Amino acid sequence: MNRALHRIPFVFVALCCLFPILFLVLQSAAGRWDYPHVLPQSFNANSWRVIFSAAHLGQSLLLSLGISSAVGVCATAGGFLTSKYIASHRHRRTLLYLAYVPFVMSPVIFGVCILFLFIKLRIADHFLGVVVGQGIIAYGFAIIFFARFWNAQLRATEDLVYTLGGNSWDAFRRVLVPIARGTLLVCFCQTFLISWFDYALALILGGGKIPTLTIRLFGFITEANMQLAAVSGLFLILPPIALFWLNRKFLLKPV
Amino acid sequence: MKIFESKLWRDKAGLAGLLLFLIAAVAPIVWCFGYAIAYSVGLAGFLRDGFTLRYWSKALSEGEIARSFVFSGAVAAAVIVIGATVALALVLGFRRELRRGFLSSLLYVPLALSSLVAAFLIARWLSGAGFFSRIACSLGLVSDPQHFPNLVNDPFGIGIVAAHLLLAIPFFALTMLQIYEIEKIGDLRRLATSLGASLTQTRWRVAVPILLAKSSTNLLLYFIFVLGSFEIPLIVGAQSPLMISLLTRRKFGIYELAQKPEAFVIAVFYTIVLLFLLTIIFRKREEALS
Amino acid sequence: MARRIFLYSILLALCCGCSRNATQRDDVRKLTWDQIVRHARGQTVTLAMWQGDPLINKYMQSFVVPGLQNQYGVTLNLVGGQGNDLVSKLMTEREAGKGESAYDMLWINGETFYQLRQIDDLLGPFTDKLPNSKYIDFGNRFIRYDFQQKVNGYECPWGNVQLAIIYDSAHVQNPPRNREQLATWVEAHPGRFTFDTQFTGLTFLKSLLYDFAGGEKELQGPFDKNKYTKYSAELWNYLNSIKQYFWKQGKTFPEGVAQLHQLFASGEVDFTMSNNDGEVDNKVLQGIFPDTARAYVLDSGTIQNSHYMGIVKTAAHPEGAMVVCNFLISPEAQFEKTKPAVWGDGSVLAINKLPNEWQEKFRNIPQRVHAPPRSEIQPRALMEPASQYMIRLNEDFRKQVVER
Repeated sequence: MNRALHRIPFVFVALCCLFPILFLVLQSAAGRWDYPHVLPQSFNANSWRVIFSAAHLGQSLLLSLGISSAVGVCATAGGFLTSKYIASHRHRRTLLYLAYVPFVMSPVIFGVCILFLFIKLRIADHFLGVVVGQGIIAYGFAIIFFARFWNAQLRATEDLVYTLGGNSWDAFRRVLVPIARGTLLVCFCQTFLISWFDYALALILGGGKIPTLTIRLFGFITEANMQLAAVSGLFLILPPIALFWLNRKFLLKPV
Repeated sequence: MKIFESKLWRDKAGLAGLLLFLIAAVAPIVWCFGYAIAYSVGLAGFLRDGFTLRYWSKALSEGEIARSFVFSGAVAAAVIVIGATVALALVLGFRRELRRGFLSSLLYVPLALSSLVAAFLIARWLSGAGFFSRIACSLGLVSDPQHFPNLVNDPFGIGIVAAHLLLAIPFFALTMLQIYEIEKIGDLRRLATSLGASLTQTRWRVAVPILLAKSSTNLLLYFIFVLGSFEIPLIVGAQSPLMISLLTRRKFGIYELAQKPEAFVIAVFYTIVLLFLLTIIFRKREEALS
Repeated sequence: MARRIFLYSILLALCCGCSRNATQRDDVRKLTWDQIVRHARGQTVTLAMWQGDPLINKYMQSFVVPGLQNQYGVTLNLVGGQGNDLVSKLMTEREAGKGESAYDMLWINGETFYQLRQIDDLLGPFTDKLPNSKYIDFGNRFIRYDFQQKVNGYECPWGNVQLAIIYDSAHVQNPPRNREQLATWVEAHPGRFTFDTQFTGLTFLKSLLYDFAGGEKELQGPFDKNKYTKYSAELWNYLNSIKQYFWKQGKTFPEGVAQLHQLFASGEVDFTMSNNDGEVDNKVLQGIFPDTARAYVLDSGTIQNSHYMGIVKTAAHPEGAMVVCNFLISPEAQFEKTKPAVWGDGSVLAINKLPNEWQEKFRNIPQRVHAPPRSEIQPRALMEPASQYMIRLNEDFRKQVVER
């Protein structure tokens, strides 16, 4: 009896964690659901049929995957390079401070201010504009993420390569990248998710012409189409769950 | 800084990293701040008519922007305080179970929710005709959606706080779990116990202060995120007061075109506040490292 | 060397040919219709429109998009966007000196039309070039004028609607028919009434403003600041006196009409409203509203207005946009969207100008079941006042009512 009582808090926490997904599944299949019925009065698979028959949600899914992958790759690579430079610079603290600014800035305010420049550069309302806009934010994160990676031991290893006659490309390709492989993967996952979850920049810089999954989801919510909104929500959740599962060991180290 | 030191020139990767940093991190922010200032004083924009401070004086005298900042700050503070408290309770109460086993994996599930999904769920759960209202009705606690407490689209931002907590609590809990391991708080508590401290004392005098101190940077960063959040207040917020990002967007896309510069007044203000908060965070980091 | 010069020349020529300038776009209006149709073939036209109604979205995706592709070889790309946001975006494009807009055409009316004319960002006049424009009922003042401004060919009429209040007759036996009865009703039924803060709610406020002004005549013509100040003060006093009995004690209002419909459908409120007097029928047919839902118009009248399509002055595909407009005002497209099961939107065509077979079809459109016929509510139709009334109401509603 004591053991059963002791388990109640765990069950409660577990339910709290799972309830969002369970509710989304329920909502996605709910037909008529009048007040005050706790559960739907009828169920149907209409929204799932629409999802798999209508091209646009599938296109949005692919578009979002493409944008987030591009952001992840570019931000990770750029952040890796830049953080190496910053790590050994005498004004490291100032440079790191500057790297924080794009990362923590409100995407809406950033988007509103940068829109003019992006229009001038002809990348607004374009896939590239959304990638660059989200990439700037993710790049700032990547620099911060890699800040602690560059330590004295790595510098010594790199110097050893030069001593043995290698050049900087050798150091990168044969030593630094292999050592950093796990960290690079985690950074890619995190920057991927920064882009994947973004709505504001996709809206402002995409001009409605880049219909990412978050844009579609918001459209369904605005239409009060709860079934399709729930299905889009589930589509949004699945890649992050997969990425978190793969990377749980490395995640959430304190900044 | 001397960009073209000969050592740097030899380190081409470093040079590339620097150039990329200047182009992709520094330049956009400098542009944003400069453009926002220019627009807010009438030096940029389609309807510009020369340097003027009338948008600034109007924005500051009306009080709407000040109210928005205060409201956004209050919401962010509520999220941090409540979120950190609940996360502490989870970590100190269920640390073993959260470290291994099924529960440790489950805690990652809410992290997969985006802000939009969290807001959508809170709207479906806590609105007058929402899920919990229906449960309350079936238990006889309410008879009508309007008798259910006003938790969503309310002027106190309860719905906004609730949606943020859905994301913040698992994030804080997982961060604190990591800190507990890295700082070997378990060992410190055992040491304190061997020196005569009670369980409660090791919890409140050892574990909690260290956890809060080591996670303070993350908490402050999260405060900044909530301050500038957009999707959640867009769905579960009220028309007044508006959070900063929503107010900026409203002013940017306003019917009265001549009021558009006020959006940039907010942007400038927000950037100053952001830089101030970042300075505090950096000071804390330096103290923690030294 | 010669090869390099040749390649650079090709590149230069391509760059010059890539974007049109305003002069070339103005020349579009000098083309014949056949030339326009020929140029339009193969173009992808971007139409920015409000996408808050699933039935309208379905009509566009299932009927308009394939119809254009099959008949004209024009690909229609629909993107979401609303009035003031679109104008702001176009303004930023002008500020940046962008030669070609991201949008070719916009679904607009009223204050958006007014703002776009202010910044001179609409192509026109162009409607005279559209063959199907001969069917448009320009004799109807609700079509000829948009918020007191003559359209003058700068936007193409698309649909015509009148604001209607929707209620559930199973719960409300005698719906209030004027503002005095409304005040009595909300006081007797606290928390059961509200309106949204966007276009539909603002149209409701304008209808009440007319009532305070003693009728349509008082607010006709250009914006009158003194009249606005006088009658809006009465409107705010009225709303503030009954606000406490609104949904959520009037401390917040639904952001848009879709949210208001959701509150009505879930039983949180007893009323909703729609700019489209025919919407109640198609919502009932969809199963979103109960079968007992009914629509009516206040005795003091409600606003009737038309909605339009505008072509952006810097559109990349003005020919394609004109072909799209012509398709949208074709008897087929207008007939399809008039059906309650599809959209229930009023047609802008003069039935007596149509070919006989179409006259027959329009006269036999399935009648409304849950809303009164247009002929019955037409006598209580009010013209839209000038745009600045809406612009001011939008701003002042927040300050005078929401934030009080």
